[in-house]
Amino acid sequence: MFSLQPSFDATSDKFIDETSEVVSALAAIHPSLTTQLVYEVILAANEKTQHVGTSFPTNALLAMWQFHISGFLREKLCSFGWTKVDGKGGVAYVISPCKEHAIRVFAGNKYVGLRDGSVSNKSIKGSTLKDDIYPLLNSDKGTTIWTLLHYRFGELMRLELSQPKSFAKGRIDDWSTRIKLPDIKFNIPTTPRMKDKVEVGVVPIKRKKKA
Amino acid sequence: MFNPNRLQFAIDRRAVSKAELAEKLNVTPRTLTNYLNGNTEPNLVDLSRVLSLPIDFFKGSDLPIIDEHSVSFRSRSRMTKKVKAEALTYGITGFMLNDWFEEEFELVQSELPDLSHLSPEEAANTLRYDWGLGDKPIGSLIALLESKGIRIFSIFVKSEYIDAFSVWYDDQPFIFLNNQKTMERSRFDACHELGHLVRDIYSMKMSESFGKSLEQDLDSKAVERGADEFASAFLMPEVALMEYRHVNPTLNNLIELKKVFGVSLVALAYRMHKLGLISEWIYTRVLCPAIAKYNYRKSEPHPMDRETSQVLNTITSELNSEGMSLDDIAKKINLRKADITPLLFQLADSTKPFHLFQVLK
Repeated sequence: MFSLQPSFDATSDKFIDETSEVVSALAAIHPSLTTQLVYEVILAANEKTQHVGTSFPTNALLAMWQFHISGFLREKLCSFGWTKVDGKGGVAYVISPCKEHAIRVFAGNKYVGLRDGSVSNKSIKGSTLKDDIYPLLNSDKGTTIWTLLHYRFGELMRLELSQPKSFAKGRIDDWSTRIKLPDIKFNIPTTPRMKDKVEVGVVPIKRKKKA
Repeated sequence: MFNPNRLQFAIDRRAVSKAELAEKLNVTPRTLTNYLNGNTEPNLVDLSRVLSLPIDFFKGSDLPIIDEHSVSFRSRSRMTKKVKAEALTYGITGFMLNDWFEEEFELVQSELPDLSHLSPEEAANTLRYDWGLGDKPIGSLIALLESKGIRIFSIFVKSEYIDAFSVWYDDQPFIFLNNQKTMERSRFDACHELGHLVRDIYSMKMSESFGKSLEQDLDSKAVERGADEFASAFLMPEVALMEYRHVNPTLNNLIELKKVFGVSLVALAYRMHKLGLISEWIYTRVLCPAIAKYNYRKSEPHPMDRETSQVLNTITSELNSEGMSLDDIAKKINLRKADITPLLFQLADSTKPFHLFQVLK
């Protein structure tokens, strides 16, 4: 006899998905960091990627998402005193005012936002990321790297803000903390109300009798 | 007997300058001024030919007068005097048509409440309650206003500065809508004018009586803003919009949502922003640039079908069935068909094919 077991590698130390805990965990990084802020960043990026035209190569869409999420996240956080730092190879970081935290945006795999599964960055990264995770920012400068991972399928996007722990073969394979952010549904819910409109019947008009 | 008042109307209606008209009539500008002052009588045949109006038109009694200051124009300051005068001639033609229609038909009489003591939002909610609309989106707006006794006519002015105007005439409210705008915008304009009719009723009627300017008494920008707020609240009640608070304010979703309320994308985004359903950052940083990028301030994505007047449609159909064409209707008020069709939402004349068929038969 055997039983089906989830084929996941539960390597992360801490997975936070309780709403109040998520709010606290974000606030612990910096008070300006909220689920609403991330939500607005994603909406803004979505708007930018929606109308790219038919000639736009679809395989470049993910890069476009990455670019816009990074851009808007930096824009929003910089208004709260965060700073933009371009790492090696133009990697876009945004550093908290206390310099203790840095956030970088990644497209993640299908396990993003799920407790179970081996969540990782979607595309293989090079030594720059390895350098960042290990000695460069983590230890020497005392700055913690956080990755905002996003994964979209259809009209739903799952997100998490996670702290990498180890890196192998181009992918982050272990996490210290994973903060699950609320899912974002892009489609409009259709309710019966939408079709319920006030309509006037026939406006009464009567021909006057001629004398 | 020549009536100079009617010559002035014809000049404004045709939007010609006095110098141009004098040249076409082959008279001096001074002579034309004498015609207008009633000092000398013109050659009515020439006038009729040059101004494309029946000779009898110039012989009629005084036409209704609209005091410019009793009319609520949008963008008044940017309008030229000529455009304003042209627009008012539509108003006068509308009154003439309405007077004749009321002789022939029993139409709904208006009982608009005076809501001048209420804020725009309160006034919109009160009127919705009075009219039994609840908080539902409004389907056919023109039919709704007509069912409340408001006379709706279209105008055809090639000026971006005239969206609509409203006026009281014989205690009857009139709204004139520029047919050049999108339907979504026309609906908003109609509600904007409705806002004037119920909230500025006193000022509009008083300035008519005493010849004072609305702007002299009130801050006109505040008045226009109030009418906009009224229109926004009337078409998109807060309670109804709150139903969609969980909808992500993306451009695509807003385009779907605007169809529900029959408003422009711009008006919906602004209203949602004002109600706090769209954050300041999303509105200014994301939506406004996207709206500007796709030129949605002037054009409308997925435009709705154009509404026409149910009352005017019924009246013209009824008259058509009696064999009376638009030409005949125009003749009743001494005008030409081309002068009345722009006011009737360009309704087609269905008598012609019928007559043609009869002849063929």
